[in-house]
Amino acid sequence: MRGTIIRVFTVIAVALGVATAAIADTSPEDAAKYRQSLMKALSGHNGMLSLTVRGKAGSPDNVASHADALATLSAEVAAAFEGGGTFEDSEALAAIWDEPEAFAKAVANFDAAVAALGDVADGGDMQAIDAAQREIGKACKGCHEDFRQKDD
Amino acid sequence: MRSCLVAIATAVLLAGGNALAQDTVLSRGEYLVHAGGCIDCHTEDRDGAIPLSGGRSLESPFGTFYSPNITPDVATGIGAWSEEDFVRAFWEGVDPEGDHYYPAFPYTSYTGVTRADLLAIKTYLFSLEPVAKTAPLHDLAWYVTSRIAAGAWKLVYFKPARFVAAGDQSERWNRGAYLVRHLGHCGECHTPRGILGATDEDRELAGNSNTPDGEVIPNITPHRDDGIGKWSADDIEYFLDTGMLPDGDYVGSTMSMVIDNSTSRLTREDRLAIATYLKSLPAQPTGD
Repeated sequence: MRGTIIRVFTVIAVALGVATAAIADTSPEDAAKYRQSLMKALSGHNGMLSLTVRGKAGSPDNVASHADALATLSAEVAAAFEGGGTFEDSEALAAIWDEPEAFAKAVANFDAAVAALGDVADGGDMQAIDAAQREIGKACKGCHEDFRQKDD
Repeated sequence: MRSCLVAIATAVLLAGGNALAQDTVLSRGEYLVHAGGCIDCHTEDRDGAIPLSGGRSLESPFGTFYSPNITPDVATGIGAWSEEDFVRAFWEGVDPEGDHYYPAFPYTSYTGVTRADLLAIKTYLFSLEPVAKTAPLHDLAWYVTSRIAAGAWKLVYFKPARFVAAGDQSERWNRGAYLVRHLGHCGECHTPRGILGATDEDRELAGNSNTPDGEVIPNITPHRDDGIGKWSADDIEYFLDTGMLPDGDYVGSTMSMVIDNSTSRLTREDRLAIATYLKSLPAQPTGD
């Protein structure tokens, strides 16, 4: 009986350990690096898309793949900021965690703008794609204004 | 009867023509209010603030300034101002009573703006709904609380002068110079300032890291590492339109507000003029 109880507690303890490992093992520094890489990936696709839409570089055939990439990456944004916190090499402002509702709204704006790009990305209508991308830009800008350090 | 009809038709035509001219001045005035960045400073930084009714705080090393109401309310705004009052404020930095303005109102740049542009701006401002609202008093260091201090400062640092087009430069360059140096007053933030707050014209647009709120204002000369030398004129134009940096990132600083209220409202041609002028500046490294 006693052995059973010990085994049960061991199983519970291990399960809890596994459940918390994903969060507990991520340092604030690594969380920030992950977020920064995510933002770079987003801006990378956005920059490529912009050059393509403006007819300066890149192939119109790739517009849809950039839109897909933006959609995939944008789905990670909310989670990437969960449980985080600032550290000295990060530009993230405390307002992200102090005003979670406002931040969630800014992220939702962004998600909606990315989804709207997805709706037109396949059609080949560069004007519509350009307009959709400008809306994404407004969402990025709006969020950076309130939640990113002003040093650029 | 016939002459009567002709007279009526002529009167209608004339009235219509005047209305059209008035509309043109009005819409030009609105355009220039955007180009001049009036809304940024003269609107409170909160949701629902009435544009141009003042009350926005502006931090400076000399204290906090509060922008005045520039809607046409007679008691609290500029509703009682004559055309001469209005022009003198921009060209000479004095209010209708002859008192000196602090250079928080960037007449140091606006002094170059043409009379026609100023009067179009006035026409637009006077078309707005008057708002009765008085801004808080400036909260300044003791040694600058007197307007006489502003007058003394002006004697040393302020030279009233209209913009003169450079004959050896293109029309586009001259338009850009006018917008950047005067109406758009870009240098008020982007040019470093000396200890008494005057902009250092030898280092035009070379950036300013010494701001009260700690925001680093970037160098926008064509220096390749410190400035925007790697940006094409098209990159600059697109940035001023959308806020996108050439690497696909988006600006989120005070410039974001400037883009929303000012540069994105300009014609592409005016944005290209700004880009042309910026590209022509000497490349300067960022100072301390």
